[in-house]
Amino acid sequence: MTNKVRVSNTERIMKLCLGLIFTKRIVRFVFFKFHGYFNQHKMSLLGAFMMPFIVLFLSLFFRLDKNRKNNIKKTIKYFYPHVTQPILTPSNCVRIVLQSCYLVLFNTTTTSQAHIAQEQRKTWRKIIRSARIVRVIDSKLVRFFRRAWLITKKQQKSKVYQQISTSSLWKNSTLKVTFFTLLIFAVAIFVTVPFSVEAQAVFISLILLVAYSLRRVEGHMATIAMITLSVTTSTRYLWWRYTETLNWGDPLALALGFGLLLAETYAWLVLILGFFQTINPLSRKPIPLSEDTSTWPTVDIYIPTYNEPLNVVKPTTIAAQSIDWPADKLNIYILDDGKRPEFAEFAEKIGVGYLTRPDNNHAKAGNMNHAMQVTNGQYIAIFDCDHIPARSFLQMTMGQFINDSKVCLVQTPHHFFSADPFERNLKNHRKIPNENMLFYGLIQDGNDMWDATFFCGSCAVLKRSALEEIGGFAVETVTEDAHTALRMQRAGYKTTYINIPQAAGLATDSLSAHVGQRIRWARGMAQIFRLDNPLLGKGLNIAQRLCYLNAMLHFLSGIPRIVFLTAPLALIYLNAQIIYAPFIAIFLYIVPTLLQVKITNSRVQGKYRYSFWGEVYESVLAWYILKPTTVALINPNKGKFNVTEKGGLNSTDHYDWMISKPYIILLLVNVIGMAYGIIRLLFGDTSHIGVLLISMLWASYNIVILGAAVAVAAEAKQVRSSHRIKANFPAAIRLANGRTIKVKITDYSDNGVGLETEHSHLCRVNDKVELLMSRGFKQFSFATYICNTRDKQIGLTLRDLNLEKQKAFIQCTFSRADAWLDWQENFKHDKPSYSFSKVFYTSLRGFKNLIFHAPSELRPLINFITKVLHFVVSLLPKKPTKVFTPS
Amino acid sequence: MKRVFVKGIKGGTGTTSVVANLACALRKSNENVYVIDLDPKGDIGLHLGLSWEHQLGWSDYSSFRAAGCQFHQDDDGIKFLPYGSASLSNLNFTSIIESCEQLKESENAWFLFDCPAHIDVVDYPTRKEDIFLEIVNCDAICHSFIYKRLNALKHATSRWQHYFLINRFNSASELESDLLQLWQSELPLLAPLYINQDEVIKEATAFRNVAINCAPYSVANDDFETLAGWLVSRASNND
Repeated sequence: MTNKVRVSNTERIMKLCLGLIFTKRIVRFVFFKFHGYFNQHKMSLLGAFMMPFIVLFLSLFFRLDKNRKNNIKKTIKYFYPHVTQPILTPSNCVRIVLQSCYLVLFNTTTTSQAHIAQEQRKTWRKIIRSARIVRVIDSKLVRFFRRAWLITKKQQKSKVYQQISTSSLWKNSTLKVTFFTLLIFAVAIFVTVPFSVEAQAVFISLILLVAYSLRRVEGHMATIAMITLSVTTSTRYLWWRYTETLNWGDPLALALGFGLLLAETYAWLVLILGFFQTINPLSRKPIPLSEDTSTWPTVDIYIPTYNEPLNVVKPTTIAAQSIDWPADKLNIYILDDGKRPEFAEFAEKIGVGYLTRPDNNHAKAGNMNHAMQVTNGQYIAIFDCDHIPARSFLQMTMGQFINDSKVCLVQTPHHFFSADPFERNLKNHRKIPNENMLFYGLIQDGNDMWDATFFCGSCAVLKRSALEEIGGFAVETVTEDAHTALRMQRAGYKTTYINIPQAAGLATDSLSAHVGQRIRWARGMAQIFRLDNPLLGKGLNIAQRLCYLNAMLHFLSGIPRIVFLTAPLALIYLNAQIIYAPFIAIFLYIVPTLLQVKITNSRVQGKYRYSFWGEVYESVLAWYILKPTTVALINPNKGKFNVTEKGGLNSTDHYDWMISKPYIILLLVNVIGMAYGIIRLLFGDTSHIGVLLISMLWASYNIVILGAAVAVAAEAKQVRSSHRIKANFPAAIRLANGRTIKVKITDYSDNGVGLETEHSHLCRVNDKVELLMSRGFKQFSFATYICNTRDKQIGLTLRDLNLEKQKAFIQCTFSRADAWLDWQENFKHDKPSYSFSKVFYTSLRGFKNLIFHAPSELRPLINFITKVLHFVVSLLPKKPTKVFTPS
Repeated sequence: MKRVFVKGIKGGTGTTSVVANLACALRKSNENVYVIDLDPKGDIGLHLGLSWEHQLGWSDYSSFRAAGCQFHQDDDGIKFLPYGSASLSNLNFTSIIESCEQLKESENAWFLFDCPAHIDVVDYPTRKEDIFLEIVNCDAICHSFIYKRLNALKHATSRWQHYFLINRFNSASELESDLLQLWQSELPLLAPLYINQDEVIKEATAFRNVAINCAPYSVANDDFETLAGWLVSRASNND
C-alpha cells in the first residue's frame, strides 16, 4: 500500500516538475511511453524515462508515424541482427559498437556482394583450371615415363642387349668392385656436396618431379627407382642437418636440436632398413605334395592354453581335427597349463591328446618343450588356442619341408576375424588396413626374400629335428617365438613364409590388453638383443642381421616418436632454434624430402598400410613401450610373460582415461603451444614469423595425430560374445513344411548363421528350420531356429548341437579352405590425401570423445568454457543477411 | 540322338518325377527333348500338364507311325508320348524305343525313357553311348539291390553307361548320411550328385507341373539343373 503511494508520489512530483516545462499532453505522453518501455520492453528506469524525450526530439526532424516506425525497426533489426531484447545491457553495447564499426568499415551491401560472388566464381574457375592443367601435366608426365620404361623393356628383348647382359664380363669381381666403389663415390658426392638455396630448389624439384611421375608407373623397377631417389634425398637431408643446422652458439638449442637430430637419424635408419627389407617381397607359392599319402610325414598339432575359456579352445580343437591329413599321421594335443578337469574331459570326448605338466616354468615355451618330450611327430604345428585353422593348412604349408630339407619353419599370417581395439574404437574395421597388415602382408614376405622370416608363435609348422638341435623352444625371453627362429637360423636352417591366411583368431579385446601385448613384444625383442644379439654371433648373413635390426628398431620407436610430437614446441615455447637455418632453407629441405618419402612409402606399402596411420599406431604405443624396452635393454632378465586376454566383453561404452593420459598431456601441451604461437605471431618479433609458422604447422599436424590417438581410447561396447564372420557361400534351408530354399550365407558365428534368400521369403521368427550345408561331397543338416527376419535376410540360431553336429558345423564354416582368403583383397591401394582426411576426421572424433566422456568433476568447467566461447562468438559482428528493401 | 533310360531300382523311388523335371531342365537350356513313357504305372502326363481323363497312348495303337498322333507338347515345349491303357498289345516297348529314330530332328534330340522297375536292365535294346540311370533311395533295400545289380552288370554282355542316382536324399537322417558316405567311398557307378528330398516335387505334381517351374528358388531346381548339366557332359564325352 505504502509502496504504491510512494511510487505514485514520485510520479506526481515528476509530473509536476515536467508540467512546469511541458504541456499537459506531452507530460501524459511521456508517462504513457515510460510505462510502456518500462513494463513491456523491460527497459531500465532511466532508459525508459529518457526514451520518450529522444522520440520527441527526433520527431522534431522526422515524421514518426506508424509505418515509418516499423520501417526503422526493421532496418535496425536488419543491421543489428544479434542484439537481444533488453537492449541496454553491457554485452549489447559491445555488440552494437562492434557491429557499427563493422558496418562502417566493411562493405556489406547486396550489390557489392553480387560483385564479390562474381569475383569468387572467377577465382574458383581459375583454381579449377590450374588444377586441371596440373592434372594434365601429371598424366602427360606419367605417360612419358611409362613409355620411357617400355623402351628400356623392349631393349631388354633385343639381341644386342641380351648379348651384353649375359656376357661373362659382369661376373668379373674386379669390375664389380670398381662398379660398387664408383657407385658409392657417386652417392657420397650426391649426398655431401653443399648446395646454395637456389641449387637445392632446382635439385629437389627435379627429383620430386621424377618421383611424383613415377608413382603411377607399374612395375617393380619403378618402385626401386623411387626407393633409390628417396634414399638419396633423405640421406642428403640428414647430411645437411648434421653439417649445417646445429646451433653451436646456444647450448639449449644445441641440446634440443641434437635430440631431434638423433630422432631423425633413427627415422632415417628405419626408413632405409624398411626399404631394404621390402625391396623385393618374395611371394612364396605353396608346393603340392606327392599323390602317395603314405610318404607324407607325421604331424603333431599343439594347442597351448593357460586361462582361456573352453568355448574359445573348442572350435580350434575341432577345426584342427578337420585338417586334411591322413588320420593316422595327425595327432592333436591340448597343452593345458591351467590343468582344468573340464578340458581333460573335453579332450577325451572328442578324441585328442591332453597334456599337463607338474610345473608352469617358462610359460608357453616351457609348455611346448614339455609336450615335445612326450610326443613324437616329425613336424609340429602350433596354434594359439583361439586360432581356428582352415582344413587346407597342412596342404598349403608342408610342401616347403618336402621340397627343401633345410626348411625348419613355415609361417602363415595371423588373421583376426574380430576387430582389434584400433578398428573397433575408430570404427574402421575392414576399411583401413590394421596394424598387423603391414607385417603379415609385406614385411614377412620381404623377410622371406632374405631368409629371415620370423616365427610368430602361432599358425606355423616347425620341424622337430631342427627344434631338437637347438634344444627346443627358447625360454630365455618373453618372446620365445622370435628367439627360437633366430636360433634355428643360426644353426643353418631356413625359415619360410606363405602369405595365405590359413587360420583366424580373436584380436585383443581392449586397448589396454593390446598395449600390454605390444609391451611384451617390445620387451622380448629388447631381451633378445641383450642376450643373443643378432648383429653379433655366427650363423647369420648380413641381410638377416639387418632384418632383425629393423624389427628391433621398430620397437624402439617410443622415444623418437615422443621427440617428434614435442619438437616444434621447443621453438614456440623456448624460442630455441633447434633447426638452425633460414626459413627458406628449412622449407626447401624438409617439405620436399618428407613429401618424397611419403610418396615412396605409399607406393611400397600400398594396400597394407595407409599413409599417416602408421604414425597414429606408433603414437598410441610410443609412451608404453618406451619404459619396458629401456628397462629390458638395461636389465634383460626383468619382466615376466603375461598372457594376452581374449574373448572378453565391454557392456558399455567407456573411456580409458588411464591409458590415454600421456596423449592427453601431450595434446594439451601442443594445443597450449598453438595458442601461445598465435599470440607470438600477433605480438612477437617479426623476424621469427617464418620458422614460427613452420613450427605451428608441424604442431598442428601433431595435434591431428594425437587427436586420432586419443580417439582410440574411447572403448566402444562389445556385446556379442561370439563374433560374426562375413562370408559368401551357398547353402540351403528346409522349412518345417518340407520345402527347400536356396540361400547364400552372409555371415556366421559359432552359434548362429545369417542368410540371404534370392526372393522375399515367408519365414517367421521362432520357426524351426533345417540348415543344409555341404563340405565337399558331404552334406550336413542342422536343426536351427529363426531368430530374426528382414526382407531377404534371415538370422538363424543353432541350439543344443551335440558334439558331432558342432564338429560338422565348424567344418562347414570356420575350417573352409577359402574362409579367410578375401582378407587382403578387400583393400585398395593407398591414396595419401584420402588417408589423411580419414585420420583428420578420426582426430575430430577424438576431440569430441574427450568432451563427451569427460569426468563429472570437469563437467562444470567444460560447460563454463562452452558458455564463454558461445558468448564471445555472439559478440562478434554479423553480416546482415536478409535482403532489405526499404518501402 | 542322346538316349537316357531312367528306371527305379525298385518301385516307388520317384522315377517319373525325376524324368519330368530332368526333361524340363534340359528343355530350359534349349535342348530338343522327347519323353517316352514305357511304364504302364508311370503317368508321366500328370507331371507335364496332361489331364488324368486322357486315356490314350502308344499301347493303344498298332504301329509307331499310328501312335505318332499321341505325341503331346507341354507349355515348355517338351514332346512326350504317354503309355496309354494297353487296349491293343501288338506293340512292345523295344520296338517303340527303336522306332524313335524315325522321328524328325531326332539327330540332336534327347530321348528320355521312363522305364518300369520290373523289366530288367538287360532287356532294353541299349547301345554303347546310351546312359542308364537307376534311381535309388538311401535305404537298406536299395543298398542290397545295388550290390545285386553290380554283380549282374559284371556278367552283362552288352555295354552302356550305367549310373546310380540317389533321389530324395535327406541329410537330417543319420542312416541316409551314413549310407551316402559309404556309397560315395566304395560304389563305382554312383553319379556324383544327388537329388535332395523336397516337398516342392510332390506339390508341383499336384499342380500338374514340375518343380522346376513351380519353385525356381528351391534346392530341387538346382539339383535337376546340375543333373542336366552332368548328363550333357556325359553325352558329349561320347561324341
